[in-house]
Amino acid sequence: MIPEWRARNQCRSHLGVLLGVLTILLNCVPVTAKAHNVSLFAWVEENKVITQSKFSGGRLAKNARIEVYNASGEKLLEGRTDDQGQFAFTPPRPEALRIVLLAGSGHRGEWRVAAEEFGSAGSAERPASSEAGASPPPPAAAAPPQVPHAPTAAELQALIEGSLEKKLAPIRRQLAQLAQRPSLQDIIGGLGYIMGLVGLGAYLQSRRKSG
Amino acid sequence: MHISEGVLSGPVLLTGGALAAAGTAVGLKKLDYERLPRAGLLAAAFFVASLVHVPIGPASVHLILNGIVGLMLGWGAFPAIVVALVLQGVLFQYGGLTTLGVNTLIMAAPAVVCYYLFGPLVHRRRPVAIAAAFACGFASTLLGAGVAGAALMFTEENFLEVTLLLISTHVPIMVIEGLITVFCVAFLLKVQPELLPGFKMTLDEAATGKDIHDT
Repeated sequence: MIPEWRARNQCRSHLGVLLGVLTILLNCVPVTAKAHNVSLFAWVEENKVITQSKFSGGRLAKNARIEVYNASGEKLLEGRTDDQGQFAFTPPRPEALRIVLLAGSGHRGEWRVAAEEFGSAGSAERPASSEAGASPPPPAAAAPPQVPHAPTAAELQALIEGSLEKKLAPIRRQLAQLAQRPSLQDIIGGLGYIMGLVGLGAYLQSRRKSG
Repeated sequence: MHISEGVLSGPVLLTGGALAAAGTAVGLKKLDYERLPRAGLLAAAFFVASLVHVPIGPASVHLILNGIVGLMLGWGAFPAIVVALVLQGVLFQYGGLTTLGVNTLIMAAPAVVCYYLFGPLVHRRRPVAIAAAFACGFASTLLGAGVAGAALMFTEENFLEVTLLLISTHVPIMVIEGLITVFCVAFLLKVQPELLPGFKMTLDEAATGKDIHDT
């Protein structure tokens, strides 16, 4: 057998070299980033729910099954994504939805749509009467004498929510994509955890040896 | 090669978890003081390799490196891969904690199998060693697809269909894994052959080693 001290010294230096080489090697392969999961993102546009499905690395999940459930777990509808990885549907009622993507080979993604996201047109109709009564009268009181068709408070709210929704949709999409991408901190943190565990293991073993 | 949460049924998850726990226990027993840093290094390589996507072929797949992990660690591949998978799950939302056992089995079991299949061959003549290294990287991914197919068999379509799909999407990765393993083995044979399994020194080396040690 190789002398222990020599083996240990060599081990240390050569493992360092190997780590360096591995790192360089890994960096050479084109990195398209992101984790290996399949991600599903959905947003609401005027009562219509649009879903976008993507594999890690940015590849679109085409012809993947989408299932839509309501809050109580009933399956409302299902469909398949198109060539753009998208699937759009109009839910029977504006309510909280759970959308599940099944992309085959054990890939599964999930996205929840909250009931509030249907704010613009769907739910605005129902609270309209109560809101019109409860909201302060100034616009209504000031408008009638000048313009015959002044928008009521409810109409105004619907308009504002509608345009806000349109402006916010792409931002929401970006946020979801950002959340999916592992950051440099994640990677370095993970390596740190591994080193820490090795240290812990070495400590435990050295205690067992001496004790 | 990672199975997401919510895909597999309870019994499959439990079976996978039990087998992975057993493998990890064996691996931890065999991880002595000398092998511990090596296991950490390979766990780190495995952890980072999953971020390297290879945009060839129909699906987006990434490096796994379980072949070289198995070759250098043997049963120690289980604890190394468990740790890396936990971190990938927590930090990259990749796989999942309930599927940890099954995913460990998918990647660590082939690593151990390859250790026994190809480990004894890497110290043979050079062409044999290179071929064995390539086969090791290739087969570790291939076998992984087989285990994943077996796990999915109970919930999705039929075994052959799923497995063939997994294998066909992973062909580019298998070749790349094979090449990386060849590279690593060739490098190790040159600088640190005792890191590879089945290392026996020639009489000369043993003699000189003993001399140095004695003096």
